[in-house]
Amino acid sequence: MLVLTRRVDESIMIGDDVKITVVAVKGDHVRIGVDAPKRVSIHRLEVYEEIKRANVEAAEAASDKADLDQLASLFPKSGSDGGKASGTEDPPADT
Amino acid sequence: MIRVESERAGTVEVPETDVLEMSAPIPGFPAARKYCVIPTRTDEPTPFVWLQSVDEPKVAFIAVNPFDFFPDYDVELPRPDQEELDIQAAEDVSLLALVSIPPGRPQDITANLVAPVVINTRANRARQVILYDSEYGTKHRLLPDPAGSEADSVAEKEAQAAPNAKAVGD
Repeated sequence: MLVLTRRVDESIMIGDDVKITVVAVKGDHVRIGVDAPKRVSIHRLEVYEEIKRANVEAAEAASDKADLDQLASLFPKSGSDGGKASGTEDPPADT
Repeated sequence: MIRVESERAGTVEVPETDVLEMSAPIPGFPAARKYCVIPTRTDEPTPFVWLQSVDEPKVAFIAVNPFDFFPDYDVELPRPDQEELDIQAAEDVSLLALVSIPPGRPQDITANLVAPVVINTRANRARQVILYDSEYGTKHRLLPDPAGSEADSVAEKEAQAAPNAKAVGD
């Protein structure tokens, strides 16, 4: 990792179009400003990691055919225009 | 029509005009840039669809229209995402929530409401938008909690681990 020392109001450039500025420092809190094109997504790492983990889990979970088949009985005859959760009246089949 | 190879749904034909271009990849799946939405069942109606990568047969998610299950779901699209997707009117937008099925426990199926896939249906552009500062988390149950079950506490623990997550109401 490249480590740079910057003061408040100083910036670094990443590539030609991403500018990161130290806006304020107070104790162990650092406020950071990011100027970047809209196509660049900017996320707090811990949130990004959480979403990524949820996505990977979702994609893996989608692979079990038996579970998928069971969904049909858990959500009987519910069309995509159902509006509300069909099956909420019915307890899950195998608890 | 284009042919889409799907590990889960087999080979399907999809009109080229239905292919969604991701303006940013779905986190965790950097190589999949194009997706299509295909039904999970053809024999009867179901609220579940596949969000299937067009370029990666292995990459597929099960998704629902979040409003089908959470009629009060409230989304305020961050302006940068709105601009990036070139959304000009509410009618342009459709949402998919990715769902997660714990292995062997389909009754504990949950939907990710904090990071919906937002689709500009007019331009066929999409991206997974993270709703910072919203009340939603990555795991909202689609079916009610069977009281006191073990699954219950696991889901809660996982929800607490998420910085933005909040336990599902009702």
